[in-house]
Amino acid sequence: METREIIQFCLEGNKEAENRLFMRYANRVYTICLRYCKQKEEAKDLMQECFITLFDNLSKYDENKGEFEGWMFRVCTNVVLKKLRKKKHTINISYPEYLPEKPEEAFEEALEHVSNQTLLETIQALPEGYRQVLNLYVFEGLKHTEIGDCLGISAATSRSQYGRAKKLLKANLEKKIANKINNEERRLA
Amino acid sequence: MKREDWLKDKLKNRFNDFDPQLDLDQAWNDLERRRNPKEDKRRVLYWVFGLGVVLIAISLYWNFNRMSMEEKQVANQEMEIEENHQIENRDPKLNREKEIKKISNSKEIAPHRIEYNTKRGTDERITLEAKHTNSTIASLSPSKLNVNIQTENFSTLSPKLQYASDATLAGTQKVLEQKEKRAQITKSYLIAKRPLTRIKTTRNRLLPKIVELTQPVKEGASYDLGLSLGYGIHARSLKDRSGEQSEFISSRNAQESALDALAINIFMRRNIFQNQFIELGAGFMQTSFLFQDQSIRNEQTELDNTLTERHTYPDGTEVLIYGAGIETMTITRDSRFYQNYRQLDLHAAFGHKIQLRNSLGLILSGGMEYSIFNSATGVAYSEESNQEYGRLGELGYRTGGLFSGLFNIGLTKELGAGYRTELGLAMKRNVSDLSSIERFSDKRNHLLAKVSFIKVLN
Repeated sequence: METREIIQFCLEGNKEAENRLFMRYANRVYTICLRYCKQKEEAKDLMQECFITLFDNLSKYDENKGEFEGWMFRVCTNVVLKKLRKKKHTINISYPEYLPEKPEEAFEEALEHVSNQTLLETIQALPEGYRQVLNLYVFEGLKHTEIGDCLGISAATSRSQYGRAKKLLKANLEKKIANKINNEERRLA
Repeated sequence: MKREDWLKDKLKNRFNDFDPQLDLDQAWNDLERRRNPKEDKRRVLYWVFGLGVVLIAISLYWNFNRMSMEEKQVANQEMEIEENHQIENRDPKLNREKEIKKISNSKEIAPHRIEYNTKRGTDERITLEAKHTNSTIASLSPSKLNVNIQTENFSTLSPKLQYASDATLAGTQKVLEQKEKRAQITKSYLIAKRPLTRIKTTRNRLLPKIVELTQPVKEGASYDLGLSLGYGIHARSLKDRSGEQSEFISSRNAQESALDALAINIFMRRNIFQNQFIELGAGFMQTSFLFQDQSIRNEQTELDNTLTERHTYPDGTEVLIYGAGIETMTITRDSRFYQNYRQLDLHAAFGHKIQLRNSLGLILSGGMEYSIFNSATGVAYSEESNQEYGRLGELGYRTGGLFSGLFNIGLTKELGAGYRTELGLAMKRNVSDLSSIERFSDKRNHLLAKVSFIKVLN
């Protein structure tokens, strides 16, 4: 069934259609939520809020203005951002800035071999402030000024937070990659 | 490609086909439950309604069962009164056959009497029969009298049957006078003492004649002493006075667990007018709930001269970094609190009774409650580690001094013998503030289903 038809049935109050829509997009919406939350339960809660908002506002979707997926992810992002605004933003500068600069090309190559699950866990392990800025900038594509507006911080702070988040993410991934290599070597030996 | 965007480029589309291993069916069921919270509320209402129906059914069954025994007793009394009176005022020679028939009828009712005597263990029936037998024997031919009635075991009449005895002596007219007087008193009484209509209906259907119950009724104001038990729900309204977002979410909002409230009260009522009363009482209430504390934060900035980090790199090298600097730490505590909140209350209320039927009334009352003692106990758990990190009692809850407004609505049913039961709903809301922290405004609403047992003290 086409997404357009499903939406039409949803607007008529058809539960079966709502279920289909949910089954089709739940994983992706849940992944978005997982990126913002440390706890799975919190992410599930957020996902529910996203779908409740989606179903409540489905009549506002105008297919002439773009694809449903794009509209849906914007709605979900708005729900997440609203939640973030509620929680208030906190600036984390807890990590020292004395990380050694390593050649990035090698890391970029290594990054290709990191599983999505590992990457997600590493993002989730970031301090809340870093995680929010990183998600908004990298995945939602917001500019630092927009992130600042969302989180109630300045654009400069957002920029510096992103820089630190990137370094910390890289450092943590490098640790995981190193551990993985060591484990592999031990296994082979 | 700009170097600064390498992460963005690498990561942006990484999660498009990611499988987060979500149980979709479970997630859908959770979503549906959250979208239709009314069903949960309805379930609670069904339980409350069902419990109410059961309680009413039990009380009605008990009451009617008890009444039917009394009806039989009264029927017997009246028949004998009438017989005695008629026998005294007529020519026995003309109607002997009829008299014998009447006595035979009286015999037919005897099993009821036996049942009554067995249950109550008294000689009241025997006493009445003896009186009847004496007068009957005097007026009938002994040869035609074919009734075997014990004339032994005579005893003094109990106060309860005094009417019957008086009537036996003075005649039906006196019974009627007493009946009229009693009816007047009963009308002026707050709740009728007996459902007379039902007795009358039964009388017309089953028995030829009957007199009303002879329960003594006093005029004037009465006191009610009551005990009530309540169970219900409570909801919490917690607001941040600074205008920022509320930092606490009650468990009801978070869909985590059912809130509950248990209450027990004793009260005394004084009827001040025909249908109005004042009520004073004392009680205990416990509410239990779970709530999330999602964003208690503590920011601290300090000069840290021992910033040390150990890093291991893919090539196996380890780097230990020392440094000094100003470090700002943000502590976020995502935690859960489980709390039992207990309070001792005094309350005063003004009420009004509306008579719906002879023994059924509607009670409306409203007033104020003052809690003389409050205490909160419970445990706060860290959400991540599920480790206990504090007792709520240690977190400093204010004790005493809370005011609540309360409103009750219910049905009252006469059980007889000076007892009543009430089934209703009680609503309470804190007027004064509960919070121990000035930053928050913490108020609670309670809705309880209540059953009360009341003894009428005249």
